[in-house]
Amino acid sequence: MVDSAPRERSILISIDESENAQRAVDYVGRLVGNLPGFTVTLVSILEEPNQDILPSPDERDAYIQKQKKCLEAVLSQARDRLLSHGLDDSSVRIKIHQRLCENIAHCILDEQRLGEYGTLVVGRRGLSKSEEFLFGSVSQKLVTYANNCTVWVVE
Amino acid sequence: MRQIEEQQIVDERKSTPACEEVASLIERAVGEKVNKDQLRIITDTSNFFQVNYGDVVSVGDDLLLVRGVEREGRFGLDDQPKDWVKMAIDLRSGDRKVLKLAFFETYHGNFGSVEYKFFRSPGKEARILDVVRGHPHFMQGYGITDTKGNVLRVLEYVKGVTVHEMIAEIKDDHETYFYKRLPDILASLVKAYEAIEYLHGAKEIHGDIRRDHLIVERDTANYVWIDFDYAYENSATRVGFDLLGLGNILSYVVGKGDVIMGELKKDNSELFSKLSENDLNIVFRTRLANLKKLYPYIPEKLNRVLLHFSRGANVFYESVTELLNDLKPCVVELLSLRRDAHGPRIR
Repeated sequence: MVDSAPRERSILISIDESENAQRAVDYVGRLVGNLPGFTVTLVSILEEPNQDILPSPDERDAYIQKQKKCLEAVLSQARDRLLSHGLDDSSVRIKIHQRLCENIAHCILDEQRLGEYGTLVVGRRGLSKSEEFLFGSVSQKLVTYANNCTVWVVE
Repeated sequence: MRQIEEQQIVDERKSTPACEEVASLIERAVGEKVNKDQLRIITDTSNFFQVNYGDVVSVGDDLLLVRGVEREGRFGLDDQPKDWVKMAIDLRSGDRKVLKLAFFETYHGNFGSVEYKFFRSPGKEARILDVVRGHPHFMQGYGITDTKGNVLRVLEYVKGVTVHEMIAEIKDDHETYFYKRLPDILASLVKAYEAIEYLHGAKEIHGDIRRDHLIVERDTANYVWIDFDYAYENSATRVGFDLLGLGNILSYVVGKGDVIMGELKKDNSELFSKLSENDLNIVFRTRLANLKKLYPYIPEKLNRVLLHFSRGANVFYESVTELLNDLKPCVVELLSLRRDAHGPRIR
């Protein structure tokens, strides 16, 4: 956490390659871009592959490296978008959170807790009910389980 | 290729039990004399189509005489052979076994806008067999690798009928079934669902929860889960497909069969006209989820559990624990209803 920002001005945006994640980035950029005192951390969750999907360690390593490259590019582009909205270079950080996730939402919340971010931002995927039942809604889980922070869900 | 295969078999024989010994075990186990020169002892099961009736699979200390292939009939369709699943006799114990060979079936699908991938994982099933060892509500067995590293599963055969078959054989009308049979069936189903809760607690999933993968074991009357070699890619909810399967089984059991909208339209057009999208199963739109509309004596509490799997639901179960927390009181209620409706409790 960057020391100078009050907690609620310390914003964590969880992003991936999706369009709704880009909308979340733009929303934050437009809202706080030219305001002082805000810091924004962009985080992408790199899920370690299930051992049943890729049992061989070499395949798993190759998968992780490929995903990492992809996410680094996504994060870099998102960072550039924030800077184009007026945020200062020193106010924006990017990171990749790599772990075996039972549940992506819990990984994001772990990151929020560790970094003591006061505001968590995520884009909404807009799933149908049956999709939400089967595959889950990250944004809904964040709203349900977030503790001691504010959650912004960007449509 | 044939010459190479024959040479492989001869090479394998040098490191496997002598043919005389195996032939003698076969005669003792099944009472059949075999010609030891024609006996095939297989240690590489990579091509499961080539493991046939009369072959002996030698893996670890096991000798398994293949007697046929398993067939799977699904809900009235003709039995489909599962060539990677062999019926076998353990030549050392004489016990009937199921021998599952390595088969890496994969399929991709789209569910709305979401892509998913299902695949068979012999390693997953072998791992789960270790996790559930001794558990009365899971099939028992162990995983073992052959000489080429294929993961085989040697399983105890579960004698009994599937939940699908059990329900289909009940001739009572629904109301009689509801009061007389359903309370005990649900009580047993709760125990089976607790087994899935245990599995999820061990960070595993079943992967293919269906009513023909739940066997009513003949000798114990336990409901026993089989066939957990399917896996799917992680998603925001790891257990979503398992929960859907549990909901579908519950609906099937409470409804004494699936209530299909097409049939309802023919048989009960008045009710059909009053139903809405919200009354339907959340994934299978041809099935009625709001069963109380058809069977008004279903208690509200139980119907609310069913409605968690309907398109009208705003809140979904996120775990088997949540489902069981709602379902268990329903079983208690049904048992008391049975007593009230029929005087002394029916056993």
